[in-house]
Amino acid sequence: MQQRKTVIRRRENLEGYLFIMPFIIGFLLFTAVPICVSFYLSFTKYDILSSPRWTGLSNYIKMFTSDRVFWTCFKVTLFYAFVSVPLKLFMSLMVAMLLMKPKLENGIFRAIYYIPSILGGSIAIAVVWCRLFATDGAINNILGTLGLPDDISWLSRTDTAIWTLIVLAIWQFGSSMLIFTSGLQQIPTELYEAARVDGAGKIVQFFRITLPMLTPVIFFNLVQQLINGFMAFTSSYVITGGAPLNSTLFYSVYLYQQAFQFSKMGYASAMAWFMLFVVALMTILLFKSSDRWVFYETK
Amino acid sequence: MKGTKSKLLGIAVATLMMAETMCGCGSAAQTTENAAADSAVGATAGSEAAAEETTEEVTSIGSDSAQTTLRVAWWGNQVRNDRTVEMLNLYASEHPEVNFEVEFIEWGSYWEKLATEAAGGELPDIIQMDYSYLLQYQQKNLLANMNEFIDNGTIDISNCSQSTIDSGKVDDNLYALCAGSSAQCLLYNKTVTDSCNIEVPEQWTWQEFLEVAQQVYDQTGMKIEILSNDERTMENLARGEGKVLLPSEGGALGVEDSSIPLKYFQLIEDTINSDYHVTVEELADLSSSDQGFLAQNKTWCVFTYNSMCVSVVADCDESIEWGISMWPSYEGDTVQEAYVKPSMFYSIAETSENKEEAAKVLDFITNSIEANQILLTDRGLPVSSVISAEIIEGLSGIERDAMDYIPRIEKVATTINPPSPSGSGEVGALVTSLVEQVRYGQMSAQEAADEFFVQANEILQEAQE
Amino acid sequence: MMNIKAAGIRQNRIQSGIFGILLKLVGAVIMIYPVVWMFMGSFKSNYEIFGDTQTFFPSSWDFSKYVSGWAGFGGVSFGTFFLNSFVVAGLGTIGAVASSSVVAFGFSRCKFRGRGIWFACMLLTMMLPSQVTMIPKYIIFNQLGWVGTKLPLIVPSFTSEAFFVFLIMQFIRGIPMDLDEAAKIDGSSMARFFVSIILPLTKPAMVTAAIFSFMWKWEDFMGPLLYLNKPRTYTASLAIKMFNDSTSLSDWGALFAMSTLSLIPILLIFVFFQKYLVEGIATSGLKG
Repeated sequence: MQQRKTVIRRRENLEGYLFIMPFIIGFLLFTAVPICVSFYLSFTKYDILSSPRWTGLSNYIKMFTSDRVFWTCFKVTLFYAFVSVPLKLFMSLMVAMLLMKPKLENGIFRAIYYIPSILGGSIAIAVVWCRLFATDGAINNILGTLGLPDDISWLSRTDTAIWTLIVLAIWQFGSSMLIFTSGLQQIPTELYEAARVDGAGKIVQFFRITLPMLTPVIFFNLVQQLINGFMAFTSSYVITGGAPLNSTLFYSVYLYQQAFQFSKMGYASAMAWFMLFVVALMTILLFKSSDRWVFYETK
Repeated sequence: MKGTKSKLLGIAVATLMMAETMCGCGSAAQTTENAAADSAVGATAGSEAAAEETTEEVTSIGSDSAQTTLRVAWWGNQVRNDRTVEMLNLYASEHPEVNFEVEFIEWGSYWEKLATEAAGGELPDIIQMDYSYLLQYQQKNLLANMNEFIDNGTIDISNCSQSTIDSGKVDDNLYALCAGSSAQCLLYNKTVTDSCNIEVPEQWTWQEFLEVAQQVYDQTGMKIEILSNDERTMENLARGEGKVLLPSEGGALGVEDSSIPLKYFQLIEDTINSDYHVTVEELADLSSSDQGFLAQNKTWCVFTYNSMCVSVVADCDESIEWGISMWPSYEGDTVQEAYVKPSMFYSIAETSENKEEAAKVLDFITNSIEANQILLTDRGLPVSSVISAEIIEGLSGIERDAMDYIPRIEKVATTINPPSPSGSGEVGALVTSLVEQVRYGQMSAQEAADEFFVQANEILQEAQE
Repeated sequence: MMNIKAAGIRQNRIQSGIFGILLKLVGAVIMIYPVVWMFMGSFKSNYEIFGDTQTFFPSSWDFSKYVSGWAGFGGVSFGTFFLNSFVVAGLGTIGAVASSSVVAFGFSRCKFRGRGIWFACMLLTMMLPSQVTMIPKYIIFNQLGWVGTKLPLIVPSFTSEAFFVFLIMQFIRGIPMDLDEAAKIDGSSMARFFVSIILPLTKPAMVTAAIFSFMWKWEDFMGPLLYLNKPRTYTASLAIKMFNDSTSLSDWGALFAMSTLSLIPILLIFVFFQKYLVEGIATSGLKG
């Protein structure tokens, strides 16, 4: 009896490993070594052109004690991620539900709403965005017609510049919208029919059925968007370049400057590993909390 | 290849070996998914070959039977890419034993790619090099010493000025051959200055310049912009006192106190508080394109290089007449600040197996009139005096004015500063950040100057360690 | 009484219908504005783009930027660049979606020792900024002799991608476990269970993954920059960047023209796939 159990277990192990084999091969071949090397580099001084030199903890010490810009960009990135991600998810869920009905027009609208996400962080977007938020730009014109102050210099003020990037992030909600759309497709229609028979209204249906059934997808979007938010690079890099006074300087942009503009790959690696630590910690917390609010069919 | 490995981070080699063995095991134990993946890879290779076949005749530079293949890399735009490929085609048609593989990309990405290739020991044979990166690459022994090719006559430099050639030397060894000359200049809207009855001299002092700026603003409402994007202006102020802000040996600034930085930051503070300088709001609105002010007629002049004039003007109204003069000097300066700068160089990689052939190509670029009639002034004024005279003849309009500026400035120019040490890029970023703080009123000029003196020295010292 | 109420409801329906469409239209205008702006820019001269910021429409509908942009660089036209992008993005997407769904199934339905650790490893790969792993990666591909070919851009996709694995996993976990039990009683193997039951049920997730994968690979710039050496192998994303060289004259009109063209394949892929996304799936019959 005991023996049969181990046989089954061994078979299950084998099957599992066969299925994830592509990942294991790719991980060992292409990813594991670079990850280890970057960890090693974080303890060195490395200018890319010559061999790295071991400097112990000095990168980390400099980072935490004497580099003021490091903490500035860390705070900017935290603010950006924690503000833009919830707003973006809310927006994309609303739009996904609005366009749920299988009508032709909805398909067209969905394609249109997806366009900004295709544009990503292209140079075209950088130019357009500066134009929109310029003092004499479209945003101020609209505010003016609504009778609000219309002379705000969005890009030059330290308290407003970051919002231009947050608005951009929300505006590019296409990818989460798409994931929510496919998530909504998976909810069985009988659940709604049953609820309707019980006399539940739209709002009750949303909170009783849609939201719980969607939690795995919400969880995915949350984890993925937060990771992306922390690693955000292009919008800060191409639109504001971190200005004014580093108030839009994202962590990844500063890391990139260190690595390639100042040839301090060792320091950049140390920054990357600190980021990894923070993001991993956050992800672990999210996974731990998911037991309480994410509803899986499989336990 | 051996060199590559030793360069590859001691520890990584061991790890890599381990990974390679593992990958061996992995591919031995093939699952169905892997087989699928493999066949798809086969398909990839096939379609790639197909893609290459269809375009072969368009881009293959030189005959396929050539014994030597030279890799050539440069940064630049569509015009430069087209012209350089055409020039190399000409060379290959005259030298069937050589063919070329070219790599080109825009400026920023070029240096990332080059650094990565250097780390992998895969630098191209001929590398377009910039003055600001020269020392960095030379000190890591990545560039070949070209003295022997000069001595044995492979590269003929008899028509090039000594100072031009010297700018590519480190410790008397030639590591970079100048591809063309350029110089700092003040490009101004002559239509506007004429309408204000202002006669622009060859060189103003800063004081005169700022007075004129006030005058133009009062009459037309047009402003000026002092550059903040690097340390060039500050470097010029140091040159005026006969000092080098960033000496090649590195480790520290070439000035003893914060008086020169103060001159610069004072200039920044005075101008931002005036009405004739663009405001921080205007600067922020235009952050995506720095030439916009001139195109929008917000400013009437711009600090730039003569080699950039054509592209700056291209963004502006065609009816405007332009003038070119030198950057202002500082009152009481003892030395002329202006200098002629190699707009870019060609270097040969130390790892190249065909240095001799590469040197022959460089000689062709330097001395062949046919080659230069293709390249024209895209990389600045050609270095050979014979060639440049001929090329200038064929130009007109702003293109001609921009090139005529070089002989004008050469009459007064002093020697260029030696190439900057490692850490200079970060010092430049420090200047930009301090200028921003002064302009936003977060710091006084004096505070910025003191901060700069301390931090720049720290940066340079750290880079030296 | 009943009639009045019904009429009221109908009235409401119509109103909310009109209101809904209006809302969607306003949204569409906001979303599409920058693309239209870019499209307009492709007909403008540099001066019109930067000098004259207040006009939206170009002074003339001049297609010359499309012609000069399409001509490309150094004798290689955008026809070649787009073809290269198709090869890289197309094969990469097939590889990424196929391998990721297999791996996702393994992680979510197989119980094996070390699952947690491998899953953590996979998430880890999403969290490290690519800037610091880029050089070691280059060295590995260089040792494999792959630099200068498209292999570094395609082969890694066939070993699954963390984002897609995680995405598809979340969908597989929404499929009831009873199916597994039924399959086990049936005696069918895990592989057959995966192919015949789970795979069809995760179609929306796979379609989503395919759209993303194609788009990201199409837009990817760093990979082609590092690994492609010959201009005739460059992808469109890499070539477009060359219009904007900060040290020389930028051709903004051509940049916008080619950027506009570059959007079309992604949009077509989106339109083509979204049909499968919303056509609905058969899970309904399996639950309850």
